Amino acid sequence: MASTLKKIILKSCDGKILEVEEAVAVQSQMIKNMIEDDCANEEIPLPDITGEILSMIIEYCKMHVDGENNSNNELIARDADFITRVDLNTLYYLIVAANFLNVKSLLDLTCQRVADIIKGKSPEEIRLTFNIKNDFTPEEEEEIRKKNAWAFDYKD
Amino acid sequence: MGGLSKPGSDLPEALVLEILSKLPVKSLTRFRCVCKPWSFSFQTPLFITKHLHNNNHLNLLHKGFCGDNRDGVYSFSQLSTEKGRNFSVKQNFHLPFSGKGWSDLTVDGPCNGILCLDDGRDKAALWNPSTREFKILPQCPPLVDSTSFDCLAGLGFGYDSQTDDYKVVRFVINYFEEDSDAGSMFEHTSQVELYSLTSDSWKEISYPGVDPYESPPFNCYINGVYYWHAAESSGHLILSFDMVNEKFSTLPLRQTSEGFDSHLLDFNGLLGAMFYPGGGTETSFDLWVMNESWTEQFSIESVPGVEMLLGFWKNGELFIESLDHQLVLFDPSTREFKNLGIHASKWSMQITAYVESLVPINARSEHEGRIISRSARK
Repeated sequence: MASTLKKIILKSCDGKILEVEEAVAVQSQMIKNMIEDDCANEEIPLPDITGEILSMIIEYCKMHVDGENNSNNELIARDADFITRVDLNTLYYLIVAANFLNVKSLLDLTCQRVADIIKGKSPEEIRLTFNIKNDFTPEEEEEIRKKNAWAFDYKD
Repeated sequence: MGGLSKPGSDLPEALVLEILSKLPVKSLTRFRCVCKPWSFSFQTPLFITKHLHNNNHLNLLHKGFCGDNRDGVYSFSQLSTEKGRNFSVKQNFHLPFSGKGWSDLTVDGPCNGILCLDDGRDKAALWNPSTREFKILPQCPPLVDSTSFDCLAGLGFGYDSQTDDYKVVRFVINYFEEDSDAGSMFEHTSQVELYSLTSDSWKEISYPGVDPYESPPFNCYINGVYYWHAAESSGHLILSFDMVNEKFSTLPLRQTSEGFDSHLLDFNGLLGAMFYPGGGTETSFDLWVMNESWTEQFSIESVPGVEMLLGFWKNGELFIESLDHQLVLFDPSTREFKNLGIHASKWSMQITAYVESLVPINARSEHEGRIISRSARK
């Protein structure tokens, strides 16, 4: 029966071809729109997504399609298991890809994971992480720190 | 994977903001000094709304009165909600007011993470525990007759989504002495006032003909409407106030036998009423929900040692004030009790579950903002 299911063909930027069941592919709102517009009959090139990232996204979508009948708690546990295996650099690529493919739940999951990783960092560490230039004068920065001293207590 | 050393720096700004909108308020407050664009972004209504919708993590606020009447104080603390932390005190809040002259202190709300405090008389304040902003509301206009005395009969707090405004409605009963043949008698009139945060002022609105009684946790706010218990000669009913059109209406309350308390609550967006008998050794809770008419949702049979119901927790557990005034969590599915090791004077405890929010309440009042930041530094 599986062979009769319609397959969608995706092509990553590094030339990897992946055949995906339609039910899995439509987890991506972008691909869903393409299918509805009858634009998904040939292979779909994904210019900014590598094969490795694409495989991870398909794994995630498949997990959600297969887990449709599972309880909410089981899905949350699977999501957590999936996302904690991903390092910070890969997370950024996943975020960009989930945003491009419009997989809302994966975008939420990946962004939340990065937020959880960075929430206890100092402003200096955050500037390094996102390569941001500090445009405050020392006086201005001191003023913000003084006004919000409670937020600089790192206990939790 | 590509040869980028810092893929984080290549993220488009919109996606960086998406990540940031999932951070706790404490982190965001700290990250305001990362750079000017971030500091600015965190204060835009768009980001504040996005952050509010992205945060479904509930924080727990405990309020209780400790000590004897004269020297006692109200304490406010945040309880840990992380697994295995057993609701231990995570932090104590130091409110930027002494509490002197606040004879009684009730927490109303939350509404978008904002709470309203009132003293049961003429004082009220808004408080965002996540940003630690605190604003004492201006005094109500003086009442008609200065020789009389007045008391607060009810207060409601909510959000008007049409005008993006927070509103407080209060009922004041004005008692005055009247000589009659039978001797001295107290007559009373009622007056209703409405505060708007945008205008930072009170105005009188028309009295709906019935007075609310009871305070939180017996009353509740759901999706732009505040609900109170009210009494009429014909029996008990529910009085509601729509924060958008500023109109009162009434609806029937399921009639119960005397001596039953009922606790109005938000049941998945519908108005619910939890009925239980006051006092007694074993308490049964019946939850009724208003869905065109009152229908019974479920019952929790014979829970021992209940002084008062304080609220629900995530998986249907009940926060309860026990007969010896301890804070207890009861799980109806396992019938397990957990004493959380917190004690307060009788009927002074409140438990409020709120989401973290950046919603500003002081933006219009620089002066008070400074007071808060000073006292927040302890």
